[in-house]
Amino acid sequence: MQPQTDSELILNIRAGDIRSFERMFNLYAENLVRYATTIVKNSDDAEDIVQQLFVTLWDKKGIPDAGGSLKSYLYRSVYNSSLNKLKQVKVRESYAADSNYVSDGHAASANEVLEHKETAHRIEAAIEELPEQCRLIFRMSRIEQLRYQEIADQLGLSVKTVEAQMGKALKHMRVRLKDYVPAIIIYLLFNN
Amino acid sequence: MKLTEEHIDELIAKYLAGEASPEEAILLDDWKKESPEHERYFVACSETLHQTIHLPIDTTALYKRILSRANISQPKVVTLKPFFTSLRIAASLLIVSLLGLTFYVLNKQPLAPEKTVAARNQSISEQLADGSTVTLNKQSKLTLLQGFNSKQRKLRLEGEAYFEVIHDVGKPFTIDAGGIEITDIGTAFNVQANRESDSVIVHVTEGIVNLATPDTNFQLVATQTALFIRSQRTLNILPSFDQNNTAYHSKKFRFKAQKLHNVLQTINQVYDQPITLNNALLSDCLITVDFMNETPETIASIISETLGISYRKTETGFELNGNTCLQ
Repeated sequence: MQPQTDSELILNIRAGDIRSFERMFNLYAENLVRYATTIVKNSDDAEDIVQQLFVTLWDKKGIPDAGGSLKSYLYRSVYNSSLNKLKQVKVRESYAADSNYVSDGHAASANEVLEHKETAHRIEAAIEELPEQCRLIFRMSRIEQLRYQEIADQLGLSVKTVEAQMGKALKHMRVRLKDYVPAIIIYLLFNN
Repeated sequence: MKLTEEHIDELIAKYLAGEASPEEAILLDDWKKESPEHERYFVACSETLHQTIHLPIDTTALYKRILSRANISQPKVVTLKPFFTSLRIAASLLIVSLLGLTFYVLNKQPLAPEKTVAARNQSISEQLADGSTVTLNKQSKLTLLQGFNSKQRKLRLEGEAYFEVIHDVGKPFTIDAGGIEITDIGTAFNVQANRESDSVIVHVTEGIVNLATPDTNFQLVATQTALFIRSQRTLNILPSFDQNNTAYHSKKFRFKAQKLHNVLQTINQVYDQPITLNNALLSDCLITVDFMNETPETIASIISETLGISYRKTETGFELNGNTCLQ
């Protein structure tokens, strides 16, 4: 592979060079999809966002002139689109809140139910070991799915404090659940 | 960038919670790339928070969707690394005729040595020892492997070439394009296989070719185009192909409501006498036109007439003159 700088990539893409476009895709697309997924919590929506970004870039040759880097531009675009998507989803969910929950039809075997109970128990025990404020923040983020800003507002803390406590919680959970990770993944797959 | 473990835990927690700013996401992605250990650390964190974010994402299908949604029409060849100039050879290739030779003689006869044909700043056409012809685009290299046209016809391509193959069942004509092998079944076809690109594009104009990848075999028929992604070993059939891509060989162009500067860019890649504009105002003029094997001068005159402007000959090529175009 011949290294190409961002500005060369941009110039070539402007000139209609599909290979540079493809190179940009290979360099950035996977991480961009991942990043969008963390925000919108849905990989289909995340792929749509990244797809739209690349289609627009190609059709309009819409890469901004030098200044910010190409990478910043791509991540920033994905970030903005993801936040927009999140707003749309929240509006839709508030309308749909009354409709009946439809099960996905997966019937767990007795064994699976037991294993899930065991896994859930382990996770719960690890959470319980966290210091009080840390535990509260972790629950609000992971279980109630609140944004850092919402947690900070509700608890009268700074967002910085929330960030630091979440970092601590993650470290604790990672150490405590180290040997339990495969079970957590199975638990996750059947409970999402 | 050196990050403390504490910072990393915070950063990963933020990222997994969907709270990371673009700058933080970049910081984390760059950190992950630094070592496999960093990558593993991230995976462990993601798993701990019962997330699947670290799992690999299949981007092939995504790229395919982008290609079909975006109006992708002008694949072009970008610069290749310099070639071994000493290997460049003249038009004639050593022909080893095996007709009438006994098996004994055949075994004694030295095989045709490996030969390389390279095009640098202009495309070239060659007739190969077997009668097939190949047009090599600029900055492309074709290697005829040892023993070409004896029991087999094996070639290796770096760059882009158009092949018109004389079919011979006993001696399959096979091109190694890096990760994918293309075998003719009575055919004319175009192959783009640049060394630094992750993709190989094959377009068939006549007949059929067989495409063999490590995982699959596919027969591509006339008018179809296939896209092979080397890193993912996937083969996709593209919905359409812009014939301007093979204009370096055919000198046939077709433009539909395209901007003049794009049109000239495409044409100037094929001819040595560039057509330029004296006025940037002309660059966005839309033009719909076909050219069938014309000279640059004829092309300049057709464009001028169509847009109601004039042209003149310059030292190197032609210049279009005008202040505005008839629209």
